Amino acid sequence: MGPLAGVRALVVEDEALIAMDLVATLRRAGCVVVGPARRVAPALLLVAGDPRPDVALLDVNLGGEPVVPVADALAGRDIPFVLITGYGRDALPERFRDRPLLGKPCAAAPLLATLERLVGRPAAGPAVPA
Amino acid sequence: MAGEGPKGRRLFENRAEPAEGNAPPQGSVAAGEAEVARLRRELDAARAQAEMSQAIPESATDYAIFTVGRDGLVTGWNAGARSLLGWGEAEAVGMDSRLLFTPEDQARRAPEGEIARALAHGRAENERWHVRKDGRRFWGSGLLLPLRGAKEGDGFLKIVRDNTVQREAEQRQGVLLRELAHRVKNTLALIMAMARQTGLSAADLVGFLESFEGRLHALAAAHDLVSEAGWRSTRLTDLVRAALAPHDAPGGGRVAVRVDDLPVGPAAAQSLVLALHELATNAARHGALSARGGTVVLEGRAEADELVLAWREAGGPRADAPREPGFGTTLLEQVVAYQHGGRAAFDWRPEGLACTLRLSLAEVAGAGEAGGDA
Repeated sequence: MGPLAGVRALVVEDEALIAMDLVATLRRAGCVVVGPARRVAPALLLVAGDPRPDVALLDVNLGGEPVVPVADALAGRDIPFVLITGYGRDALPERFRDRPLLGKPCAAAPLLATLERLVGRPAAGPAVPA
Repeated sequence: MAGEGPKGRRLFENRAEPAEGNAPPQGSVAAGEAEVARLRRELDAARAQAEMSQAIPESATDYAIFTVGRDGLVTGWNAGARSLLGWGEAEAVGMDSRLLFTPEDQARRAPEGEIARALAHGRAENERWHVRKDGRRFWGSGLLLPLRGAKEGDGFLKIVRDNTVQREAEQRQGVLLRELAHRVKNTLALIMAMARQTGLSAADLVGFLESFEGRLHALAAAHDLVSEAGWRSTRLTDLVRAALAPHDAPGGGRVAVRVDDLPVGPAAAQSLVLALHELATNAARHGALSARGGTVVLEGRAEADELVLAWREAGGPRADAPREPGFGTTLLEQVVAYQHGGRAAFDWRPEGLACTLRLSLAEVAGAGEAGGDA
């Protein structure tokens, strides 16, 4: 079992193909995928849902709609998250600047490593099961 | 030549005074008359020159050209200043030139700073919002220069032009460049996702390359369409043609297209081209387009709040539902469901595949960005 086995990971991403790919990557790592959601409103329902997600991956801009309310809701529930963006860190609101950030396009290995760090279960070895 | 300004000072004074050393010489009456005529010609020439000099600032109506004293009060005002800034010459002369600065700039003592720079460096460049008489603002670009020559020490000459349109264009360009950088990242993310997903379902490297290249070309075709349209709406007819062109030889007539000319937003364009590409690729490999004489009909129309796309194959090998959905089918279903709030129905008939896509018209026409976001 990998370090992410059974982890409930919320995916918020508006592009179908990228969402599909994220879901596939997470499932191969053993995650239970929550979502994916492509807009703020459905994402908020999933954040507030029960059982709650353990961690979240957020595309910063959802078809022109900023993901900020979702990030705030996650922060409010103490759910860690990683932001995925094609813009720089400077484009983020001040309060999210020290959150983990991955640039687009983002490869599977750093994504999974970031999630492991966020859920506090570092991998035993250097390799991440794919 | 126009009369003198109300406060008695012209912006550019050119006195037609005979140069020294031209005093009339002693001599005959005739010589005296010749001298008078010569002086008159000189005077006329000097007047003409003076009028020309005055005509320059008065004709430069795109430029506000005015002079201010060391106390900051306006001392001269041209026609351009009148039209650009709104005050007539009579009201302007004697006015505090700080009024042309925004209150914010006045508060940070920008007018005084500009004068100090002009004195220290012989000129002060000036790019800022200016205020008109009616309170409206414009982006002025200009120069403040200390007066020279006879007026040396009297104050400054200021030249300003309205660069609002240019500045707005530059700002739009800046926004577009940032947007472009962001779209490139999105496209790269999309290509990476496509490569990984294609790779997972490919039997071997050759198969991977073939599928991946086809999808990349479809993406490129969509990109061409969307960028030609300035990242605004494209037409469904153009989009269908772009998606199917690689699969039907010119004049081949094996794919009949009957679609309404509906607007398609940039985000939807990209995924619709990909979806149609998957159908066409499948037809070329296993369906109607793999057999001589096989045909495809694609019909598209708006029905209530949906765009209905009907793909009908005929004349190919018998269509059988695949035991396991391939990536093409999955991609099609996911894209249609996720991106367009729609659904894809597959009917594997003996004469060939019939696939019906139902998409939300609002999502299809939506102004959302292409290639995902952020």
